[in-house]
Amino acid sequence: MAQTTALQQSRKYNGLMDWITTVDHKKIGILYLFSGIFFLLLGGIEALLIRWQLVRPMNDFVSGETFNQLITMHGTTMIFLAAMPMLFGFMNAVVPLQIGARDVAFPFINSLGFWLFFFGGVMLNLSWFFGAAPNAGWTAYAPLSTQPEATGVDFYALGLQISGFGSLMAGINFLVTILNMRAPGMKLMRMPLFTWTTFVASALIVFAFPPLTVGLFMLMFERLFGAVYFDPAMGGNVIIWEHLFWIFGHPEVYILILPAFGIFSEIIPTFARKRLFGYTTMVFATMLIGFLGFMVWVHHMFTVGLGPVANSIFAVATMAIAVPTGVKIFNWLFTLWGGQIKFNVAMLYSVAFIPSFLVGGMTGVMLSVAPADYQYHDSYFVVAHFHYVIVGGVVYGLFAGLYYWFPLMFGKALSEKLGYWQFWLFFIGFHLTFFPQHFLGLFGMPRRVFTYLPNQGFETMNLLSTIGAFFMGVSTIILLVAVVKAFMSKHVVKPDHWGDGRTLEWTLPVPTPEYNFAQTPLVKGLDTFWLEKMAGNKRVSVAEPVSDIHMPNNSLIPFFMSLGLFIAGLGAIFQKDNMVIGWSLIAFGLLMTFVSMFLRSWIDDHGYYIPKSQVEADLKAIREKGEQ
Amino acid sequence: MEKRTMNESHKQLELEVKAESRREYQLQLISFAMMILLTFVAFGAVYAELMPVWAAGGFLIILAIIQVFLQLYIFMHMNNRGNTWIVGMMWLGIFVAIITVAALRLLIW
Amino acid sequence: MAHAVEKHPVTGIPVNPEKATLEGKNKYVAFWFFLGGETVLFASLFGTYVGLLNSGAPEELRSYNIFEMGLVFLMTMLLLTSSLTSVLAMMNMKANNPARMKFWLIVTLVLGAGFLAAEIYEFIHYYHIGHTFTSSAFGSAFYTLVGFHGAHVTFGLLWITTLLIRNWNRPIDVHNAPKFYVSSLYWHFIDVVWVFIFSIVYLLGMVS
Repeated sequence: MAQTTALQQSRKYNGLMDWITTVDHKKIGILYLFSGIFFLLLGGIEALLIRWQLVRPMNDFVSGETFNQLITMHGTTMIFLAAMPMLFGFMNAVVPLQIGARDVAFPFINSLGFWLFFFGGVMLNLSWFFGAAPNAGWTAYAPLSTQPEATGVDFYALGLQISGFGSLMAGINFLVTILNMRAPGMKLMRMPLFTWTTFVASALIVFAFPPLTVGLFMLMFERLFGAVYFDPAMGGNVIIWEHLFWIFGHPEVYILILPAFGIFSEIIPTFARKRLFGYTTMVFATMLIGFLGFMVWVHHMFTVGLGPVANSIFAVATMAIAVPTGVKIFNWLFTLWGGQIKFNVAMLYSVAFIPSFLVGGMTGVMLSVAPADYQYHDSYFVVAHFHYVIVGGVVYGLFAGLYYWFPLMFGKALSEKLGYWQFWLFFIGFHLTFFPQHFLGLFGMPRRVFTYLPNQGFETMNLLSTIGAFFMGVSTIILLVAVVKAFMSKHVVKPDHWGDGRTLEWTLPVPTPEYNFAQTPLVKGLDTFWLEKMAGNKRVSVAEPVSDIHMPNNSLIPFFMSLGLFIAGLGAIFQKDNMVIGWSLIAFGLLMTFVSMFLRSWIDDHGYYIPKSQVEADLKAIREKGEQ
Repeated sequence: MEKRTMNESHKQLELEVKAESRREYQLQLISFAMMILLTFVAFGAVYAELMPVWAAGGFLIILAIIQVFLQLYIFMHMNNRGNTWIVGMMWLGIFVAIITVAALRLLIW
Repeated sequence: MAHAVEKHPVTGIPVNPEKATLEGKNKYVAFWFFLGGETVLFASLFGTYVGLLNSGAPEELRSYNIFEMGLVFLMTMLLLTSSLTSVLAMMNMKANNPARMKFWLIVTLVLGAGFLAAEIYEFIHYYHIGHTFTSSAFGSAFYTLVGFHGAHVTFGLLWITTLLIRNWNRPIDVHNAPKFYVSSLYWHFIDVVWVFIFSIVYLLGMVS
């Protein structure tokens, strides 16, 4: 071992440079989480502006054009830049720990994935400063999105393209991590549910993002380089975009909701202090939802006129998804039944999720009935439906996960007292905002319209809806206060903060060492930490003696690879107005990316070793601290 | 004595490796020959206008699918031991690919 | 920890050097998954192409009037043969024959470059007769599909060249074997896509 130890010195940086170059999954998780929260705030502000415009009839707070930009950016930001990154944050922070791994399979690509997402997000939001944000809706249907004057859509196409590459890499990375990096004894059917749902969501990413990539390339070529796929005058066809977008778009919904299901499936057994009911059915329901997710996208296009046969097939497939989802709902209920339930904030969100999401699921089944969909389509009923599943499902999951894993990620706990306020304000605000929207839709209020006439029965419901939105706004401010308060506090939590941890991440010391596990754990069954606790053991069994630990080196290359694409993307947008500047930026950016790739291939980087003596010293310090 | 048996077993191994590599080599060449053949059939059929237009699509696509299977399973050794997840994911990809092409071919107007 | 990897007594390297280490195995599996995604990527391009076949193009610029069988046949043979030479390179890699592996990789590169040259010639020809990226929806879809494939070929050439130069004077080991191996998987996949391109785009285009 001595010669390998001398093989390579560790390359370390401090401060900001450490965050830019880090390949540690725990730090990348934090980067994802905070970038996600930042974009969540942006998207939230956009939502408040939308609601303020709709607070009364014939309001002129913003113009119709600005309103279109707000709704487009709200949807795009929330889906791609807030919900997905925050989920990636939890996946990064938790999944390697849950399976007993020292890192993800590809730490370098993990960092690359983050920076691609980050620069993609920045590019999308730069549109506000270059004249106009995208205004064609988050679905960017052609020909609305191919209008030459809608310059914001350029940023949409390029920004999502760049961040989409990052998502694809993250997806493959998690798949391989979960398949190849599990600790001894961690069989597939012993994996925690969050790991399982991450696995299935990652598989969905691998197959769902390529159609989006193609669609966005086509949108970019059409807008910036003169292609005519969507121009009927030149033989183009706008339905191609709709298909490509929804072949991606529907699985995307499951990419968001499945990990959220996973979070609830971790929290509910922990605080019901009972094994998850129906673990096996949970796993298979997850896989079934993932699989069916690829066969239902046409239900977004029922009113396009694809014919009764197509509509019927996709309607039936859509209804079928309710079955595995129902299985999950009952499994959560049966896990709660007879448990010794502890109601902290994470658990409140989990319990509130069940009825909230159920409402969204029910309206989903209503929408899946193709003839009825002709009535609901493009009305506020649809808005209410997808906010009930996305907020009532995904956002509740994100908040629940934040309270639950915050101690693991940061060594500090969020205030439960502020948390109760935050939860109740959010819960009430959410239902106050979106429940009336069902009726607005049924009364005939169309979505994506910037104002409405008085005396049509829309006033009260819209007012309620806006009040609810501000409840959620206040709740989010409280959340920020809680986060800041936690960071300011000197109180460092103990390992297994909740005392009822069941899975491997709770066996780790606080703060988690960079190598995670000094010795790789030996997994004895589902909820292995719980099993060891029940057997009277304080620590989980280990599978190996203490020895040198191989670690990957930090790297600046992912940052520059992503920056290059970002610059090239800006060049692609600018070349429409200024050929010289645009094409030089494209050339410079692509050169930067390809040189970075070349360097990555050329430079041998075998990582470094943390010596055994260091690991032993760490272990000793931790044990002494534990005995105090 | 000990050394001799070592040498002999080494020779034996060497022979086995050679035989194995020859088998592999033959398999690869045969599959290459089949690919060439399939290509010739496809081009020939179009060149000589042997097919009615309605049958051409199905025929050419079937030939292409056979050829791609040779690539995946023989050239790329997709079926190697321990590749269960790889095969599963590739087939899922193929499934999504088929419905994507089918939708864009059939479900547009 | 560097786990001791069992070496084959005859070749002097592990039996499957490309997946002898965990790192190698990760790369191998990840690259296959990536190819699974690429399958859907090209399916989306194919779908777009068949959806827009001959759409918006004047009679003289339709598929059955512009495609020429001779050139496509030549390109097919070049790429198909390069797929075989890439297999031969990998067999020699596993047998620890670096010299022959390099030889076959160079042959692969030459064949690939020949393919690319033919494709560029083809595109220039189409450009001159008026079938361009912007001339019709058919043109846009055609160049997007075939161009994406051509870009993959270009990237593959650069990739394999880099690997060859970097490892020219190095023995085959568990560090570079996975790199060579996944690049060869990539190269085969390029051929897989081409099989569908010559069947669906060119041959079927000539028939209809």
